[in-house]
Amino acid sequence: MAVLNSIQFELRDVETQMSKEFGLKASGMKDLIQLQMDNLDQFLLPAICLAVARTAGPVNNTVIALSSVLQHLYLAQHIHSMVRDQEMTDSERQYPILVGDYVFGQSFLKMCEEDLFKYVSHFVTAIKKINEGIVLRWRLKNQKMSVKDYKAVIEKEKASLTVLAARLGAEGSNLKSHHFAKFEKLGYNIGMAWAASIEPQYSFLTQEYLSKTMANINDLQETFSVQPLQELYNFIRQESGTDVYLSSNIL
Amino acid sequence: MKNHKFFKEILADLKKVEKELDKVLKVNDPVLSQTCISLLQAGGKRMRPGFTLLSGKFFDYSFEKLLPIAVALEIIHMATLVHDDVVDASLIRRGRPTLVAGWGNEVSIATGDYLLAKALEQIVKIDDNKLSAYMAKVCIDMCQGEIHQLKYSYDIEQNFKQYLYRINRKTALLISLCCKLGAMACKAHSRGIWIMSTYGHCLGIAFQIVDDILDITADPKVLGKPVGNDVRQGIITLPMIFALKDPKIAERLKELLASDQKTEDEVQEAVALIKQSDGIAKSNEIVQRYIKKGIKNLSELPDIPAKGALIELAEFVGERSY
Repeated sequence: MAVLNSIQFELRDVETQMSKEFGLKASGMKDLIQLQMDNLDQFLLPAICLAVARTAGPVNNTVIALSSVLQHLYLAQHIHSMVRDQEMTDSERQYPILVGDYVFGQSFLKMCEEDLFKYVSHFVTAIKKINEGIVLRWRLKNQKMSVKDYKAVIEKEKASLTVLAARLGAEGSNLKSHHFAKFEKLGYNIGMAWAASIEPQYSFLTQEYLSKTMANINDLQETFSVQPLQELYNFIRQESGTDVYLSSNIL
Repeated sequence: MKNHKFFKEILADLKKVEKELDKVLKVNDPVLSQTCISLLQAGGKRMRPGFTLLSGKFFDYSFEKLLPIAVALEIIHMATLVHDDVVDASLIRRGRPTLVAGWGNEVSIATGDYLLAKALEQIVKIDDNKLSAYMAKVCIDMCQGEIHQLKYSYDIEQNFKQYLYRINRKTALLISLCCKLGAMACKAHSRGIWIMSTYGHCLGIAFQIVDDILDITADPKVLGKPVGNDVRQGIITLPMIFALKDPKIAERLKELLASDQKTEDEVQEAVALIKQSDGIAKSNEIVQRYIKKGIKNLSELPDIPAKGALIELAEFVGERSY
């Protein structure tokens, strides 16, 4: 991820931790499920967490561990989302459930091993919200979803995780608590832009939320070194295929 | 909440656990609220919290410490049942329609994940990294057991050792953990923790073998689900492993069990063949060995009412018909 220059080494650390912990004894995960993840799926959440932490200085090991747990949780959810109500073959249905549960268990174990208990309540809140979002989308599936409803769905499904990523980056690097809200707002807008970019019928929202993200970065530059956030912004723009003219003088 | 007679000693506390489960699983979302309520109303034996509380009785019993553990373990158990029903496409459990039958795969998986978050919330209350790490490891091992089961479905070459590997992870580890954590939370000495953990392991193995026997021999009305499910799904269980060694029926049984396209008549034929072999009797012998071993382990512990309850529970597991 050349575009994420400021956090490339830390991102590699997270990747290493992830690949070490994926080894299933019975079989490799890749043999069991056909997992499809793009660059945003693979890197965005840890990148948010690391970039937020980097704005305040060097990234510590707690933030790297938190980024890894966060990505584990996202991966578990992503794997579970492969199971749909429509007819599927037995193995298409069965393995994603079990592998998702396995990854969920690993994230839980990592929280214990890395002594991350003080952050667990944040993770719990996010997991609950994601599943409320999944259920909300399910409830609305036979209706034409209004933009308001759609926003309510993706706010829970995706933005809850990006808000958490930003919060963990800030809290894990011991920033003062009065800064948390600004970073959470940044995380929220990134999450909404990310989610909207996946569904073509709502992609018009991507630009709206990317502009808000840029405004958040501008707002933060008075207090923090925002270069990592600018790189994060460019990464999302590049990977979501959104070409937005940036007039900000910080770029 | 059934099994009152075994849990007489801890009944008041077990009722508090039930009340706490009610409280914890009260959620705002309209769909998740219904799915959680239906899981609670389905009841269940509440054996896992029962084991945790009874184990604590031998040591420095502290209900306050045991409560979040008991609640977390029962919620983890509920979550795994919900996900198992999606894996197996089971439509009936405990005589009632499963979540997947009523709500489909997506809502069932979301409910299971939501429950896991609720369990995590309880685990935070325990505030003990070591205890929590044991829970996490067991969750991982349980998944490995289930994955192993899937990978080796329809494989008639499986042996007793492979079967034990699977049922240990699938069932015994969680029951063993319930007993172990009950002891650990009540400041048991290391021998005490080992005794309780081994008792739970033996009981868990016996429990699963009995489950596998009942899948062949039970009255579906009493069992609360159809019989022959394992045959249908290609899960090779202990009665089948023994029956496959009977030269009179081995050839036909192999053919039936290895086929992933069985008709209902063929399922019933396989069930009848297993019943007519000595597979059930031999499996029951193994059950009794584990029950005896589990009870023998308790001999070192003081003779308090909880010990009688654990012995009765072990005997019940060996004789149960549901």
